[in-house]
Amino acid sequence: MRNGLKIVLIFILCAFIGSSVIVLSKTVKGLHVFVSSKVIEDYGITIEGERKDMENLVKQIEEAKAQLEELKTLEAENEDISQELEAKLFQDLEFYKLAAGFVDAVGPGVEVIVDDGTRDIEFGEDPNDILVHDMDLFLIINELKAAGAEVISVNGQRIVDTSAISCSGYTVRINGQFYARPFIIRAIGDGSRMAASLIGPGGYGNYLKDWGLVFKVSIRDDIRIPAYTEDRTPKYMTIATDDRTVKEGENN
Amino acid sequence: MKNKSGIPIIFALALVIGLIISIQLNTSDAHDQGGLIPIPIAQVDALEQQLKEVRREKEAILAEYLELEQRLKEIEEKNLSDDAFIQSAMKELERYRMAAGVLDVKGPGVIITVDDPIPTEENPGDGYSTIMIRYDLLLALVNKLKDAGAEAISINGQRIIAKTEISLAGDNVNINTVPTAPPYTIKAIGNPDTLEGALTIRYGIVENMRNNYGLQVSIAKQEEIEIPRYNGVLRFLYAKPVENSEEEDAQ
Repeated sequence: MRNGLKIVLIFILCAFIGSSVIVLSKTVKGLHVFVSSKVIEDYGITIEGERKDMENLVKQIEEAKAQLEELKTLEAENEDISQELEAKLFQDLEFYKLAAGFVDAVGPGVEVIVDDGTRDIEFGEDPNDILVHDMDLFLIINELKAAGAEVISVNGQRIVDTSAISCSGYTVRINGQFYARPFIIRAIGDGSRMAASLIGPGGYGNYLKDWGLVFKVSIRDDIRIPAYTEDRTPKYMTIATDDRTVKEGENN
Repeated sequence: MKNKSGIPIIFALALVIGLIISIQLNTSDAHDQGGLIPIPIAQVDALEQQLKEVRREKEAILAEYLELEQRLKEIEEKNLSDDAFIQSAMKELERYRMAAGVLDVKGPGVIITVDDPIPTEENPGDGYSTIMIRYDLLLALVNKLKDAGAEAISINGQRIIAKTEISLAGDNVNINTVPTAPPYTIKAIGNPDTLEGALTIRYGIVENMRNNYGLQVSIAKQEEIEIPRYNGVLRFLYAKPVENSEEEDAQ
């Protein structure tokens, strides 16, 4: 009787310790990884981004399919489709000339004037506080793009995909040309939307004004932006051929 | 009788010791991991799997698109006359399309990866992504690459074209209106030495990102990089092209 009870108790004890070891090892190591709390979120965003990319592709596929269909019906009717194709060629030419910045553009939009602050600096204050920097300019441009700007220029320099804006002492270099204050940024697009994004609550224009810089936005319906004039013959890049092989594990 | 009453006490003692040990192990483990939190491997695996699946799906769609494009091209080549005027127009179109960023391109250049700092004991982070909040660092990085003569740039597969924005929208950083998240892979085609040199200059952008923000940045020079085309739909609703520009002054 006494022996029997002892054995039962020891059995329970052993079982308890055993199970607690298992629980412990499970929660501490086995099935968990230690990651930063935002990793899960990042995965979600990346997946969402890829989906969005797919949507864009599907739209383009539909467009291409419609085009192909149209050409095929014309071909079936024994029409001469070279006329059609030529028309499309010149239409494309005009469109991509605008997209690449090789032609002047006109349209409604905004004109933004940014200049160094006119206030006196306080004792010991860094004069940089009231000067316009390259960072200010490309943040404004970025803001305009986010608000749907289609074509942008800074002091008459068309902003294209390779346009850099860099401070170099007293001047700012844009597309390899030198400019000094004041800076006039013009953008074609939805004027009121672009203006609101700059001078609305939390807009970058307000931030600059708070520092004492001069910042003016005017909505205009006759913005004219000149073509990109610098040489941009590519030296390093060539067109990748269409037989692009899909590489496993390569993300982008 | 004496023996019998001892056993429950030993039992209780073993229980307490066991609990203490397990609590100790748990807390010291979490301590060592700084700001990291434990997440079931299965959940991470499932997400990884989901991402792979979406990417595979996208590749399939891309392949379909490329095939359609090829067929269109064939029809064009078959039917367009080979007179010099048309041929030069086609050449010019290719040049414009390349500059507009709607063609896949390849060439030598650099690949830069930027990731958030690893959370540590002293600096556990606040659950927000440093590089996403300071997306202006990405902007500055891209600007430096352009300044160093980059001819084509992409961030996480999004081609940088004239109207590309990098903006913080809610919790996302949108590029070409597509949500992106770290780690960021930035590819740039150009002179690899110039590109790398411009970024790694003392007190330059990369040093700033590493030292002031604790970001993990790496740069690799490559013989050949492929950069994808702009995937979105290009459309001009406001801007209209106009020829001849001589009367406008520089401003």
